[in-house]
Amino acid sequence: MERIITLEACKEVGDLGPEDLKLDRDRMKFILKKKFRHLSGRKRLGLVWVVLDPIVISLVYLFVFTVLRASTSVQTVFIGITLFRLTQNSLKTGMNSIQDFTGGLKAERVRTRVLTGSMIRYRIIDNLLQSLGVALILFIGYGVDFKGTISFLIIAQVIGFLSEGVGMNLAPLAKKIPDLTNLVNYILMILFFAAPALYPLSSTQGIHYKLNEFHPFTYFVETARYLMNEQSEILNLDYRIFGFFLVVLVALIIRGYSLIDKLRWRMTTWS
Amino acid sequence: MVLEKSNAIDITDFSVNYHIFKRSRKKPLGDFENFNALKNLEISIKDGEIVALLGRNGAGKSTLLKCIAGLLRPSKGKIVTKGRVILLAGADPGFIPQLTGRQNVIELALAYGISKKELPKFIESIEEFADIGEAFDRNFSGYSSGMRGKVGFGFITALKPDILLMDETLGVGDREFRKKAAKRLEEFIERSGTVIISTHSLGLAKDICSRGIVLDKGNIIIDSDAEEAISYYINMTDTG
Repeated sequence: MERIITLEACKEVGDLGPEDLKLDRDRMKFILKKKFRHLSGRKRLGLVWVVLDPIVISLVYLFVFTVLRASTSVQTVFIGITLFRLTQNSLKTGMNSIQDFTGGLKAERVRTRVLTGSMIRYRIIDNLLQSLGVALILFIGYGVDFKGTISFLIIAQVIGFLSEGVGMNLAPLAKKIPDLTNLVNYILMILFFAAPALYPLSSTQGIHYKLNEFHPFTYFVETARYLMNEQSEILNLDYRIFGFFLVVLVALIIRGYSLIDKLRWRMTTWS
Repeated sequence: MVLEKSNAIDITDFSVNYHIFKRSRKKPLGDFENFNALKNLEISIKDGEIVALLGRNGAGKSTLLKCIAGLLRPSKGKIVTKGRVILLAGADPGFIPQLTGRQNVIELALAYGISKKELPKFIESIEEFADIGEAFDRNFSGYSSGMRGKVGFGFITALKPDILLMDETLGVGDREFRKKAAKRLEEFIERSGTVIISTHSLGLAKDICSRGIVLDKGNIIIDSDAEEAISYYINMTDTG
């Protein structure tokens, strides 16, 4: 196969044969496994920690609320924290997406479709792992029905992908100005307490309520709570704002994935 | 541009700029500066040719090899390559520390296009070459750098590229291993179609290369037969 390397791109000429497609599939598997191995490291429980993380964090906050004698429903906290952790982790993964453009294979260039394919697969599995534990707890322990549980898992997938899309759009800027990573961390920290992750939107009022109406996370978490028969304000929110956010976020994720090839190429000479 | 039938690599008007972050008194917040690593290179390499790439440290040899491998973006110009390109830089094809040497070889082999049918022979060849005994089935994270180098070198030299790019690879292992590695390298080069070797080992360049290119500060100083290029390089480095 002929490869043409220019300022604009590194392109292969001609169609991919069955052998190329098989190689790409094998590479996707390799990269995916490598990512999860990196995540589990030498931890004895490995990937179980990904499932446990939102559960443990939720339990910690429930303990804090008990100490403060605040009346918050367990389900509300579980749903909010799980979806917020997913948002946070996916956003960070998106921002780091162009840090490693080799896919871990150092002796040969891998096609961008391999990197994109492995990213999508990783996101699906990671979203599932991060939401599955809480979904099971709510289903078995708190009587959430099957429909509500499945809706929660679907919303977790959607929010995971959309957050990664935002991160991917920030990635080139974060590579040039690494300080942005710190800023994003601080903003996420503020949003964790300001957004309705730890409490339902109905418990906020005034400017706090108003501001949350302009925060996309509110719409996803409140929809999840509504579908799981929890206290929710989703029916009182303006669906046009939700629609606007959805369009923008979907556009960002499409832009993010379609820019991977260009960005990974452009960033090779930045240090 | 269409690649000439007999050329494996065609490089036309090729330059590379690195964007390097630099902080100075005038710019305490730092800024990116351009560093021109390669300047307007024109090189054509025929199918089956073995080329020595010579030059001082920082001359642009590694940058050129990375560009040909498709790992670095040029600032202008074009490279056209024909066939599968493998870059042998260091001796790490992408090992995973949590796996054993054998598991690493199996997983990486599939990712580098070795079929399941070829796999047992492929593993055997690496195990035999690396000769690290039962450590082959131990976790890779516990390997010494020499052991990693042996498995890595064994792995990459078991592949079958159309274009092989080598960047100073014989720096690993003990004396006995280097001897063995030199022999394996020769076999690897014979098996590969077109080879470019970036090396400071002039003996190796003289023995196996038919052509030599000397780079200095990103420019081609001389592009001729290997002996002439080596003599020029020796003269250049002797006179400073």
